[in-house]
Formats: sequence, structure tokens, C-alpha cells
Amino acid sequence: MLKSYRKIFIKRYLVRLFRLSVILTALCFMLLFLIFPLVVVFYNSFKEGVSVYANNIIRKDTIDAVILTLKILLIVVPLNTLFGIACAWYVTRYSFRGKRLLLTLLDLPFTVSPVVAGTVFVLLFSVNGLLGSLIEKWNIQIIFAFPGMVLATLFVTFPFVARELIPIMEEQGQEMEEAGRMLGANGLQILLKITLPNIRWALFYGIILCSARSIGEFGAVSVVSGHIRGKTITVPLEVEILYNEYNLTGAFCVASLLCFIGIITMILRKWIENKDPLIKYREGSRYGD
Amino acid sequence: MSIELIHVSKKFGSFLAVDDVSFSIQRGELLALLGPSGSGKTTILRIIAGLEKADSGTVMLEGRDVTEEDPRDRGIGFVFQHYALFRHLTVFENVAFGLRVKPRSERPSESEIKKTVMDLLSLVQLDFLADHYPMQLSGGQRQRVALARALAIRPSILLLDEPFGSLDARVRKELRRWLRKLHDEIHVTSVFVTHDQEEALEVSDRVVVMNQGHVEQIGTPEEVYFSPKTPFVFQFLGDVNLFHARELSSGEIVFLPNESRGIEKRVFVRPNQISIALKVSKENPISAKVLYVNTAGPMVKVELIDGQNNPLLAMITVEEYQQLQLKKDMTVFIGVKSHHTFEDDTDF
Repeated sequence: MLKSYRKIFIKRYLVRLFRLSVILTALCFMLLFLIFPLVVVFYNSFKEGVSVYANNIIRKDTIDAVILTLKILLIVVPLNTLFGIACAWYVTRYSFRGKRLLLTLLDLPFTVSPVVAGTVFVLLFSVNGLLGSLIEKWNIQIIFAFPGMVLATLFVTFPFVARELIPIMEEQGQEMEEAGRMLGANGLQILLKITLPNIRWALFYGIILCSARSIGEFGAVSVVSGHIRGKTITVPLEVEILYNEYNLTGAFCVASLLCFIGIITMILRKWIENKDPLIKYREGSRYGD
Repeated sequence: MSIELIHVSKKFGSFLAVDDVSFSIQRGELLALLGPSGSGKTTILRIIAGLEKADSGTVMLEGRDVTEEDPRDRGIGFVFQHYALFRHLTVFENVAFGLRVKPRSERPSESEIKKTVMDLLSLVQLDFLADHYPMQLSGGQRQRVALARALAIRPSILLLDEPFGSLDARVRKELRRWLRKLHDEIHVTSVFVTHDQEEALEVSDRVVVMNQGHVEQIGTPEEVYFSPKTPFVFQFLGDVNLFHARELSSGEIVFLPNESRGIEKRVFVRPNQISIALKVSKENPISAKVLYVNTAGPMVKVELIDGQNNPLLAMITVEEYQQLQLKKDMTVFIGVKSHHTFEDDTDF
């Protein structure tokens, strides 16, 4: 009798010890790989004083990089938002052959290295590439220029909005839309008054993720950019250039901008989770059916 | 408005959901589509609504062919099984939706919308919940909001898909009486789908019994209950005891197993048409053993097993039960007070 009690006690103790060690490991991991680098970035950006930091930020090269990054963002995000809504609508509202294949292809930008994507664009659109003759005929520059960078970013960020919308639209089903149709709403009214309001927070979140990735994209953009100072340098590329020039403080200062964006993204995400009234009422709805 | 279906068929892949169905619904009628799941009743409702397109056949509303018409133009109110309320809108806005999406020229003014919506909400006794969200309502309340919303566009036809399907037993009984009352007040042609025979028999003017995509029988609740045309209808509308008996050339049915005259026949008997006696007689010739007695309820349910190991269910009154003093494992003799047989009933 006594012996078995002791056994149970030891067992409980071991379970507790195991749990504690798992939590500690996770904490150490987070500290080492998330918190510590963030602290290093901000420490190194500000260690020579706020004025040095400010000077690094308002340098012409940095400003140019920020403007270019924003330009790409303003083209890529609206396009991918439209694409994401259309794609999610198509996938969740219709059944067709090859739906699974489409969903798998949608993840391609996640699975393929961005460098590969960049290289593909170079092979396609450079003067010696597959579509080179067309490029030359129309006399437009895609690779090592702004259009190429937009294309590369479009490719890398296209799944974000669709990926956020598909599960939520799948779960909602189309009964609400059918109800709207029976009540006399046309397609546009259904989209604006029923579908979009019900997916608005997921959509917003998808747009934020898409924007964050668009700002931070390095690999694919790096390949197609050609690194032309003042012309094809985005913020992440600027960080790399400064780093390669041994301007560590400069590199950290620009990098801190990207960190800010990351932190803002996370705060917005938390805010959205609290904001969605549908999530809020979901708890209270249990007494319903 | 009258509804007419003419030779309507619909396939989903290789599954024949609706198989050459034709029937018509009179103006102002309350009709039940009754059948087990997968019998095609919901598909028929969606074909009438225009949410599903028939592969072949014609749908007529008031003599007008609407087979190719958009659901928006049919003037049909539809109540979905899971209500499909707009969860981002308040109860008021849910009901107002159909009025707000009307083209500008037909759209009522804001004060008219408010009046119409509040009138409808008081009709369904929910005016006090106007500014609540659907997720704050109980199942029965949501159901009534869905009904008010469907009525807001002044439909000439009301279609309800399993309207009480996801409510608990008490609420569904209340609501279905209320629906019957409401129908008697507003007289809109209504069709509702159900798999609950009690619901169909209690609420509707006529019942369409469906099975495996085709219509088994159409008739008033009394007709389908007392004169079922097929074994399926008989079995679907209530508990049933099945006897393999023999029909003599005189038309007499003999239940005894050792009978060899006449032809074999399936005989259908309702549990309340079975009599139980302690002694064998001409009326009670079949011996059986009592397996289980359930006295909870207005009638006493007795489960028995006969000499051929066929399970039987009998329903007797409490007085009869007290007289017989039935116990488990007792041997009794049962008889059949009335029965039902079908011509050409050969598939057994």
C-alpha cells in the first residue's frame, strides 16, 4: 500500500520535472533566437547615439530604398488581395477537377526557395531569356529594373491572402450567400454585403502578412534587382549593401526599420484577434443550439 | 401561387437524387415533403427555389415556366436548415436585407423599411431582440428570425428546409404548431421538408412521401397514414410489425406457421392493432413470449418474440396491462385486430 503511494508520488514528481524542462527549453529557445537578436539589432543601431541613428535613416540611399520598397508594396498588395479573394472564392464555392492540384500549387512560393523564383524570372525575361525577343521588340526592361522586382515580389507573396481566406470561407459555407440570393441580392451586393463583411478580419490579416513579406523579401528580389544604387535597391538589399561595406551601424539602423515593421505586424495581429466581434460572440453562442 | 413540377430529374455525379418527379401544389397550401435522408426532398426544394438546376423536367410557378429563371426573380422566400442568418448583421438588419437590396426604384423608404421589419418581428414575437446579433439568440429564436427575413420580401411561396431539424423536442413541437397557425393567418403557399413523420402529419395539408428520389405517395395526412399505397409508406409513417402469413383464396389471412394453403403474403400491422390474451382463442392464435414491458407513457409498450423468433411490438392501454398482469418471460397469445397487405408485394 505504502509502496504504491510512493510510486505515484515519484511518478507525479517526474511528470512535473519533465513539464518544467520542456517549458524551460522553449523559453531558452525563444530568448536565444527571437529576443536576443532583436535586442542586438536595436542595441547596435542606437549605441552611437540617436543622432547617428537619425542620420543613417535620412541618408539619401536609405530614403530611396524605403520609397522603392513602398512603391513595390503599393502595387503588389492590392493585386494579391484581389487575386486572393478571387482564388479563395473560386476554390471554396465551386468544385472542379484539379482543385487539389491548385491548392498545392498555391503553396509553391512557400516551398520553393525565393532565389529559384528570382532565377526563373531572370531566365524568362532577360534579353537572352526565353521571352527575350519580345522584351527587345517592345523595348522594355524587366530584369534589373522595377517591373522585375514587382514580379518577383508578386510571386513570393501571392499565397498569403488566399491562404487566410480559404479556411474561413470553407467553414462559413455558402448558405449565407444563397440566402442573400433568395432575398434578391445580385452578385455584387452579395460580395459587398455578405461575403466581405464576414471575412473582413481574415482579409485584413492576410493583407498585413502579405505587406510584411513584400517589404521584407530579399532572395527573389535580390536576384532580379541587379543592385543598382538609387534605382533597384529595396530596404533589405540596402541592409546587405551596408553590411558588405563594413558599415555595421548603418546596416543595423536600416535593419531596425524592418524589425519595427515586424513588431507592428504582431501587434496588429493581436488587435485583430481581439477585435473580431464574431470571435467575441462565439463563446456566448453556446447556449443557442 | 401554385407550383408544378413536371418530370424533374437531377443527378449528382452518378447519384440519382431526384428521379422523374411530378406533382403540383395548390395556391395557399401547406405541403410537407417527407422522406428519409437521401430521398431527394431537399434537392426538390432547392430546384423549386432555383438554387439547384434540374437536369431535365420543368418547374412552373402559377403556370409560368421558371426552369431557367434566376432565383432572384422567382419571388420565393427560403428558410435554410441552419437558418443561414447573416451573422455580421443585427436581427433588424437581417430582416431588412431583402428590402435594402431592392433596386432603387422599388426600394421602400427608410421609415417604411423600419415599419415592415418591426411588424414582421412582432409577428414572430421577437421585436424586443431587434438589435441583437444572431449569435446571441437561441435556436428557436434564430429560426423565427430566418422566417421573418424570408417573409420580408412578401414572397408568394415559402420554402422551408428541415425548419425544426436542429431544435430540441419541446421547442420543435411548439414551433410547428405556431407555424401552422401562422400559415392559417398569412396563407402563403408553403412547402417544408422533414424526415419526421409526426411533424409532417401534424402540420401539413398534404404530404408527399419520398424514397430514393421518387414519390411514393401524395395525399392528406389521413390518406397516407390510413391508406398507404406502398410498404415503404406504411413502414415510414410509424412502427410496424411484419408477419409472413398466407392468404387463402377466400381472402382470409392465416397467421399460423403450419398453414400450407393459399399464397405467402407480407402482412403489416401497427403495434396498437395487436391484441394480447393469456389464453389461446380464434382471435388470439399466435403464441409469443414477453421480452420487455415499458409502462412509461400514455400507452404500455410490450416487446415480444413469437415462435419463429420474430420480434414484435404491441401497444396496449394501461387498463389492459393491469388486467393481464404481464411479466417478463410470460407466454401469451396475440392476435391481429386489423392489418394491411399490398398487391404485388413480392420483394421479400
